[in-house]
Amino acid sequence: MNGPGTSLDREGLVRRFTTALEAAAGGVRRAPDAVAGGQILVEVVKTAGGGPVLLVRDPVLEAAGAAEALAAAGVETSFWEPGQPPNRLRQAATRARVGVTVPRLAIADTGTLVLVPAAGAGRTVDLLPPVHAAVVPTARLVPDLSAALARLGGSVPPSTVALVTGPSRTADIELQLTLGVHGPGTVVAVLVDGLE
Amino acid sequence: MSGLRARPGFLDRAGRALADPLTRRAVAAATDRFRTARRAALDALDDPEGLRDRARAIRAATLARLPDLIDRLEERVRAAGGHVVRAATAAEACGYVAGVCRERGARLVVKSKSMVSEEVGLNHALGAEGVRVVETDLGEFIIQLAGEPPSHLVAPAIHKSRRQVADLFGLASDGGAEPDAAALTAWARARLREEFLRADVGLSGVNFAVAESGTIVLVTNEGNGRLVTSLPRVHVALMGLERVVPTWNDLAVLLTLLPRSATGQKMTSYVSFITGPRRAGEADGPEEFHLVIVDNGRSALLGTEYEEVLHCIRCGSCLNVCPVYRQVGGHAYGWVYSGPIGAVLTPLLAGMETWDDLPLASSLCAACTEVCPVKIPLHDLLLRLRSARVRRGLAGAGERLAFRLWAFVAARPAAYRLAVSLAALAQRPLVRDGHLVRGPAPLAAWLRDRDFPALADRSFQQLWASGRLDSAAGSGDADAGGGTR
Ligand code: SF4
Repeated sequence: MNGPGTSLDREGLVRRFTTALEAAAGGVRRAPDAVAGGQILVEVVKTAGGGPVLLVRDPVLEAAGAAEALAAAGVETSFWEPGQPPNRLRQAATRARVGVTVPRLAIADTGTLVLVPAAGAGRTVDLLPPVHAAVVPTARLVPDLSAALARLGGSVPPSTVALVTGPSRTADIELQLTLGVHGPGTVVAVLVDGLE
Repeated sequence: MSGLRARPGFLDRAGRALADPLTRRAVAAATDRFRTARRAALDALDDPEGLRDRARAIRAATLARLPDLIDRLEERVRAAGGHVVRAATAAEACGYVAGVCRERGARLVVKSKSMVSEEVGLNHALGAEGVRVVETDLGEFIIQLAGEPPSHLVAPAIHKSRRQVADLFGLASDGGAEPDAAALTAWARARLREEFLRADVGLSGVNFAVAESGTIVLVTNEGNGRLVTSLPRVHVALMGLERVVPTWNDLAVLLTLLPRSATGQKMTSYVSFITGPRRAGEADGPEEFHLVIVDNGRSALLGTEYEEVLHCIRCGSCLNVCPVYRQVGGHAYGWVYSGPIGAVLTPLLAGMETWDDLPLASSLCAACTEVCPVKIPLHDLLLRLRSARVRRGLAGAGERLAFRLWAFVAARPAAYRLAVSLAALAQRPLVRDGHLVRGPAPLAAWLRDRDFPALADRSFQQLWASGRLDSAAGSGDADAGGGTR
């Protein structure tokens, strides 16, 4: 909608995404490949105070060896397993300190993560734990909101799409910005090259 | 200005608000913050004016075929497995939601912010059925505990101090340190988290509804909107008839403007797009989705001189720049909507007879019109409402008499000259430092809080006739140039 849009190269998108998410009080890390992405995820979890960690079932996390890397670091992990009763999953999400997601897209202009639920990815993995870590292949960056909506909209969109831009926030008490009111107070995106 | 009123009106409520220095400071600070942030966020766009024009065109095109779009929306929501009901009145809307709760045996409803639900009095209606409704937006939660209506469209509890919030939370400090905003927020998070996990029904508003796909869009910062629409088994969404947009392309335009205009954010922390209930194979989400499309007087405005009020996307910008709102805050407007948009919308939806004084709560400076992202000519609408008020004979006998007198005198030069000379004489005991500071009965109320420049000793016409206009104008008289002198 504004800015030069699709003509920007990948690095330009990464820079814009980073600036925008940091402006929204989120954090951004960068990994040159999938395995490095898994290692950085471990660092992010440790910085946040450790597990339990709840992960979505997603090929990107498998490629990154995320669960193995976390287990090797002694962090308690569990997956949002398809087919489990919702209550069990909800309990896991409530117990977890860190929820790990794999966004469908990321919007450079606004620093936004685009989450779409699936069998192995519940709606609240990012929302109930106090920390949200998203593993994002840089190939999934799009320039702006219009570009993202063009891919998601149409006449039969998914049942839910959540755009997430930084931590949950409020300024309802005396205009003081407070993070983590209902959702996470910490949001970190791990941008990973070399994955689709 | 509104003459004397038998029942409490805007002036009484405004008087109460003005007597509360804390609220005035809070409202001023909040509106300043939003205003500055909005300007920066819009300036950062390539072509903010062009975008506003597009937004306005989208809203106009939407209203031009609203019935078709609502049909389409309904069809698409049903196709996605949702229920749709059209509520002509507030009572119908409340009745439907109460019915859903009754049939599911729901005792606890968690709710994210919805102005239209406040408009139809939903919490009250559900409460009467024995259903507990918990507001989960932090600001709404605070004012629900206080039993007050919102004081700002975007920040409903800006009039509450930290200490007042602590009291409402039952955390009154006994001489100890006052809890800070972070501690209060953490307390509310823990308390409301339990409610989220226990609730039977989630109730949300709708910022936009995309007709082509049957998708509702929710814009929040706290994330409560997502919890409300993800955790309970049933999700009920309430929307004003006019919230619909035709396509996702149109949505992109409005969604670019809404957060920038409201809080100055490029994007709020959360935006949800919801199309029906959860689908087969999905891990979680509500099993039922109900969309309640509320008319409540809106369709009656289509095709009238007030139609444009339905363009509103509830960003709150017009409140933040309004010199009246900035002084008196939201409660003076007496109902759910405040500021310029409230002064226009309330009489139209809730009745001219009861709310005829709200359109007078404006200096007609047009600051509201200037900032409105969808370019609603708010000050024109206020003027139209004012003249409708006069046409309907709501203006009060004193005001009507005064204008009839004025019309008589102004049309007769001799009478006019005489009146001006007499007034210049009669005002003498009431003038101090060149200003009228007191007045007889009809002027007394107006002059209680204001001074009015006194009439000059010699009128403009007298100066003109005597050929001494130049020397008078050059005499350094601060009030030179007044046309009626
Ligand atoms: S009238 Fe315009 S400025 Fe006021 S709330 Fe509505 S959209 Fe915003």
